Order: sequence, then C-alpha cells, then structure tokens
Amino acid sequence: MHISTIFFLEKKLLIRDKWILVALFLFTLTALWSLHNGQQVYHYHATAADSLQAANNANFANVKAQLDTLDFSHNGRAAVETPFTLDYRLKPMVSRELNPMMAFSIGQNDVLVLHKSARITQPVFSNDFDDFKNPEQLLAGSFDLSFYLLFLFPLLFLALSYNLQSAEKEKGIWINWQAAASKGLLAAHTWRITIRWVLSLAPFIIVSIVGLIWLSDQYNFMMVDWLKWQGYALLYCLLWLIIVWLIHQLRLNSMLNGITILGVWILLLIAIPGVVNTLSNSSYADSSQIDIANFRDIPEASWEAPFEVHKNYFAKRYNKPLKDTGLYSETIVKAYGYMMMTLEAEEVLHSNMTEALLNRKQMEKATFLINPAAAIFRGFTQVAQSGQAHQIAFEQKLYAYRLQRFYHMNDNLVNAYRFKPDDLLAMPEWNPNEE
Amino acid sequence: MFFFLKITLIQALRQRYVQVISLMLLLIFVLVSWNGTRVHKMRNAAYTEATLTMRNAWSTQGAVNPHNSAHYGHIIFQPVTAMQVLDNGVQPYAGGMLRLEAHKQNEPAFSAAQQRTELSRFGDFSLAWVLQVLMPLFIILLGFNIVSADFENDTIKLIAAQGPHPFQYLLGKALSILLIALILLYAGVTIQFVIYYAAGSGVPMEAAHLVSWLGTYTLYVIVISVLSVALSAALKNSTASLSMQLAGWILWMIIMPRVTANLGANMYPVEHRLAFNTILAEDRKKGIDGHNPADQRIKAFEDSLLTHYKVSKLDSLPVNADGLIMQADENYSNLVYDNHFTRIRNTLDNQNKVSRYGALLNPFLAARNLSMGIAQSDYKHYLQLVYDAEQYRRYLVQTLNEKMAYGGSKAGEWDWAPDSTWYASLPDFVYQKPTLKTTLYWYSTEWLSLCLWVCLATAWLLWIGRNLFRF
Repeated sequence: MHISTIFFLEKKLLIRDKWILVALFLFTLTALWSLHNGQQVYHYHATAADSLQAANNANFANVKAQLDTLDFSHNGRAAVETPFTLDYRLKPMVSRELNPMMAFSIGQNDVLVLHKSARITQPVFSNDFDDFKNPEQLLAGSFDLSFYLLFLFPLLFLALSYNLQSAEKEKGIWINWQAAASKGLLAAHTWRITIRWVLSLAPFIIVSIVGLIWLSDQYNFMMVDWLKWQGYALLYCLLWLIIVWLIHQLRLNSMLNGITILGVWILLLIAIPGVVNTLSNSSYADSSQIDIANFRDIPEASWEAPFEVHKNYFAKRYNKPLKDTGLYSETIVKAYGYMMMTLEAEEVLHSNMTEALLNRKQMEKATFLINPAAAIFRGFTQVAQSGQAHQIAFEQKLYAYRLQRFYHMNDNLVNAYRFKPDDLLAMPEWNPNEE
Repeated sequence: MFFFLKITLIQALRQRYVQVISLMLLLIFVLVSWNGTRVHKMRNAAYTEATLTMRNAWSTQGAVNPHNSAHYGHIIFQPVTAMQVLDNGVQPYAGGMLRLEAHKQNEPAFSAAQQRTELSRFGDFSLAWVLQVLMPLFIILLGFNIVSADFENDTIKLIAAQGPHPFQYLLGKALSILLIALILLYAGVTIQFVIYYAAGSGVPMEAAHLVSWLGTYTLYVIVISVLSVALSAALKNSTASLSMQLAGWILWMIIMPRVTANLGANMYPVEHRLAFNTILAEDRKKGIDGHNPADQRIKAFEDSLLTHYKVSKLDSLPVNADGLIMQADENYSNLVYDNHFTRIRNTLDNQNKVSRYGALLNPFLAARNLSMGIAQSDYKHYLQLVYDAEQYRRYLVQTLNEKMAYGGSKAGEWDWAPDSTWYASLPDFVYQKPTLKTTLYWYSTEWLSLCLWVCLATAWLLWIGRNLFRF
C-alpha cells in the first residue's frame, strides 16, 4: 500500500472524528499555557537580576562619590577604605546566569536560590535575597513545557493510537486492510502509527516554534540550546513511538492496548522515577542543616584564634615585611587571618554539601537506562541551566568571586594602604556568563 | 443488597488480577512504611541532635552582654512529629531552620529540596501518596466493569428478572468494592502503625489525629468507589468506562494539582525579595535605630529618660539606657515586620486558596490537603511554627534587653554581663502543635468537599439506578 494512500485514509479517518480536532486544540492551548508559565518564571528572575544589578550600580556610585571626596594626601584612612566597611557599603549582590531556555524547563530553579549576596562575610548558603517560596506550590510542581512533553504528550499519543488496527478488527473491517495491503501490512501499520505520532506532536511543535520566536528576542539566547532541547524532546518522543509500536505488535484488543500503554506511562513517569527518588532521598539524608547552624560559631572562633595562627595566614599571602607598622597592623593581620579561616571553613562545608549532591546525581545517573523520563528531564535542565549542576557551579563561582574581591581590597590595604577611586574601578566584576 | 455484595465480593476475590494487585499493594504498603519509618527516624534523630546542640550553644555561651547574646540568637529547626510518618506534606519544600536574632525577623531557610536534584520533582513515595494516587487506580481496576460487564454479557436481564431493586444491586456492587478497598486501606495503615512502633520510634501518634486521618481516607475511598461503580453503570460499556475513569484519574491526580498551583502563582504574584528588603529597610529607617548613635530619635529617647528620672546624665540613670533603646528599636521594627510579612503571607495564602477551592472539584486535592494538615506537615502548620518562633524571638530579645536595662549595668557598659548560668535559666522554644480542632477548622473546605462528594456520588449512583433495569 502506498504511503500517500495511507496518508489519505488516515486524514479521512481523523477528520471524521471531531473529538480529535477538539483534543488537538485543547492540547495546543495547554502547551501554550505551559510555555506562558515558564516565561513568567523566567521574567520574574530576569527582573530580579536587573533590580539587583541596578542596586549594585547605585551602591557603587555612592561609594565612588564618598571616595571622590576624600583627601588622599595625608596618612589617615577613612572607614570606607577598609575592606569590611567598603564591602558593607557596596553590598554586592549577584544573580545566577539565566538561560531563557528556562522558560521551557523551570527544573529546580523554583526551589534554588538564584540571587545571593556577594559580601565577603556572607556565606554562599545565606538566603537574604531568596524569593518567598510557596511550599504548596513547590510540592505540586511547575506546569512548564517539559511537563507537557514528558507527561501529556504520551497521553495524547495514547488517545490517538490505542485502538489503531484493533478497532478495525473489532468492527470487522480489518479484512479491507488485509486485502489492500496484503504484502505490506506491517509497513502500513507502522506508517499509520507514525502519522498519529506526528499528529500528537503537532501541539508541541507549534508551541516550540512560538517559543523559538519569543526566545529569539531574549538576551543570552543561543540557537544551539534550543536545538539541543529539541534533540532531547525528539529522543523522548521517539521512545514513545517505539513503545506504542511494540505494544501494537502484541495484537491486543483496544482496551488492553490502552491499559498496556497507560501501564507503561505510569511505570516510566511515576513508578520508576518515584522509586529511584525515594531511594536516593533515604540514601542521602539532608544532614547539612546542623552543620550550617554550627557555622554560626565559626567567625567568632576564627577571630578568637591565637594571633600566631592569624600571622601564619597573613604570611602565606604577604610574604614581606609590613609597610605599615602603625596602629592598624595587628588588626589588619588579624582581620585577614580571621576572614581566611572563616572562608576555609565555609569552603569545607560547601564542598561536603556539594559532594553529597554529586554522589546523589551519580547514583541517579546509574538508573537512567531504566529511568528514561528522568534522563530526558535532566537533559532538559542541563540545556536550560535549571538544575543542581548549575547551582553548584554558581555557588563555587560566587565563593571564588568573594575571595577575589577580598584579595583585591586587602592587597590594597596591605600594599598601598589607601583605597582610591581607581582601586574601586579596578574591583573584580561579576560576570554570570563567564565560565 | 447483601446478596449482590456477597456475590460480587466472591467474584472479585476469585479473579487472579485482583489477587495479584492486592498483594502488590500490600507489598507496596510494607515497603513505603518501612522506608517512611526509616527516614522519619533519621529525621527525628537529626532534629533532636540539632535542637540539643543549639540549646547547648545557648546555655554555655558564657558571661556575655545580653544584647550581644541577642545578636548571637538561637536557631530552631522544623519539628518532627509522629503523625508526619504518614504524610510528608510540604516539609521537604519548607525551610528547615530558622535563625532568631535581635533586630531581624528571618525567613526559614535551607529546605531539604534545595539539597536534592531536579529529579526529586518526580515525587516521593509515602503511605499517603500510595493511598492518594495508587489506591484510586486499584479501585478503578476493580470497578470499571463491575456493572458494564453484566450489560455486555447480557446477565443484567437475568438479574433484573429475579426481582431485586436496582438500588440494591448498585449499592451491593459499590459496597463490595468499598469493602475490599477499605480492608486494604486499614491494612496499609496497620502495617505502617506496626512498623513504626516495632522500629522503636518512640513518640506515639495522637489517637484523635490518627482516627481523623483514617476518616479522611475512608471518605476518599468511598467517593472513588461509588464514582467508579456509577460510571460503569452509566456508560454500560467497559472500554468507555475504563477510558473515562483513567482520564479522570490523570486529570485529578496529575494535571489539576499543577494547574491550580500554577494558576494561583499567576493570579497572585509575590513581590521580589530585593523590593521587599528595600521597602522594609525604608520603613525601618523611620523608627529608632539602636545601633546608630547619630540617630536623632535616640537623642530624643534619651532626653525623655533623663526627664522621666529627673537626672542630667545617662550614667546617673538607675537603668541602662542602652538596653531600653535596643528594646525601643525592637518594638518599632516588630511593627514594620508585622506589616510587611503579613502582606507576603496573605499573597501566598491567596495562591493556595486556588487549590483549596479546587478541592471542591477534585476530591484528590481535598484528601491531599486534609491528609497533610492532620499529619501536621502542611503549610499552615509550618506558618504556625514560623509565627510561634517569631513570638519566641520577641520574648527572648525583650528579656535580654530588659536584663541589660534593669540588671544592674549603666549606659555604655557593654562589657557588663550577667552570671553565665542566667542564660541557661531562660526557657527554650517549645513547639506547640495546633490542636486537631484548629486543623479541621483550617481545612473545613476540604472535609466539607469530601462529604459533599460522598453525597453527590451516592445520589448519582441512585439516580442511575432508577432506569437501570428498563430495557
């Protein structure tokens, strides 16, 4: 039987059933709404990032104005020139790199803290700029395009294909197909499933294109990300094409076909990911809270450490006699040692938390062969940069940035003693897109 | 009616797939109960350790100035109660720890979900989840052809010829499914109960809560069972009945919870944190700032003290003015915090109202909300904890500031400290769980919705029965 004949017959069958058109229309609306939800979340964070940047600029301008009024010709240093006061007045804040593809996959971004303080005394796990979270909403999860594709697309495909062939057998008209395609029944059946698969994909394709048009206007959008995301989506959709095709080869009746496809849906999207998640939750218990609580004592303990310890830290970086032997020298040494000890403790704690997360990710990855929906979802979040991997990278980068800022201010204090407007302009800058 | 109940029950129990699925469900109950108890025990141990550590840190802070101690503050953690073993609720998504300190009302931070990967969004198995999501699926498989099969086999005419009333027939069918579902429900809860106590989990579950929790699921199971039989009778076709019931299951369990949650977020957007912090800081600037000696309001406050005590210098006062200034700062900032945090809480509450009213259309949402409410793992219990913790913070900071003011020190004596044992004498924060009555009041929409669904489903079943034997 020729493909064009199959296509013509399928078209006639589908057009005859008005419910299919209604379903396609409703699914297109649903997919559009899912895209809209993703866009809302993206805009929310993009606006927050812009506000943070505007506040940073305003604080910077204030400090610059203060430094501009200083007289640098005498030795007295103003408070604003010392690292801790300077940092306090600058109140730097940073946002994680936002990929507009996040509108397609919100991932874990609704749970994570995307905007943080970059003050040297604020550990990476501080949450002063965390959005107000609604736990009930987080429990329900995001209704974004990745949810539509993972959960709803297979259901539409199921509805359009569960009774293909079996319905004709049940109505007694299968004999017509046998007569028409006696030698190519399997091929004809495969074509029919493929046509219905493409039809099920139609709402998603339409919304993906709408999404692409919207994305092309967004800052930081890269076409390659969209293509990668579509690549993962195609893999997932192909998986469902194969599953449905295989189930049809069992030659079951319509009801059993439907139950079997739905059974696979429950298995792939609820049972397996749920079991894996339950196992990883019990294997990697959330034990970092007490460590974070205990961290409260670290700054004071670091300050109270013997002066020799502070001196050792100081000597490691500034292996030269101090220029200034005046009143501040001991304070400078102690403040440096104190900050480095605190930062080191923070790094150890953060590394432990990161390691636990990476182990968990690794364990989950080992199940991907039997957990394809989770594998695809991780792929989506990797492209959209909305998973834990990017949060870890963000926090590590933030730690390095704070250290860089501290070195810049402290080096200046130790080597030049005065902090001039040019030193402020030379402060390290946060670039969220930089690797 | 009992004849049909007995016959249907025997027929159902003889079916191999019913036996297999029942056994699978029992096995799932054992697994989730065992895992839930294990995780609950670990959480409880972590909570106890963390609480003791923080109390110890507080009690042994040594001889320090009371206001410095107020800055050091206290940290409390999300409490673990016995009922939570039944239902995790929103706990993984709610901040796990809350720092209580002077001048600042913090938000709880570090939720368990932040320490999990994106795959955690596929959900976590618990007893409540099995009862809410898998149990209806089991009931659907039991009930989708319970009446339609009689129409398809034409046995319905034989049954009608024997002269029973259609109501007897339908109620007998519904009760048979209900009985099997209820036996499994109670078996599941008993398994959890036994495993919990066998594991030596210590804290007993509150009997009234447990009964209410079971009552919730009993109502839920009644709704699903009756609806399943009603659909089977209404459609008289097994394929159509199964398709319709599975579509309903997907709509209620998978799609609607997300739709209502996202709709709520779209309808009531919450403001950005930076904007909130900025407005808060602006409002705080309008009041006394205890740590800013240049603040004109401090000068006015000090003058009022001098006038009141009829002295000319601060160190001549019989009290320490610094302690009183700090408390005046607190009193003002508390008003500001109340004002702004109430706005945020109202927005979040409005967001949740969408799914709360959605419970009128979806018994799953009603059962889910009520279940986590009774299990003390819902957002309202969490908010109550945050509120109580804030009241404790205010009490603690006020006590410390008053100790500074009236404990015997003078203005400017920041090195002054009470006896180091004094801190240990201050009461620790004790979590007072809201009563069951309060919880049921909070969730009145949900339990009313479940009762309404029971009535509507039964009425529909009986309405279908009117014409069932007219061929």
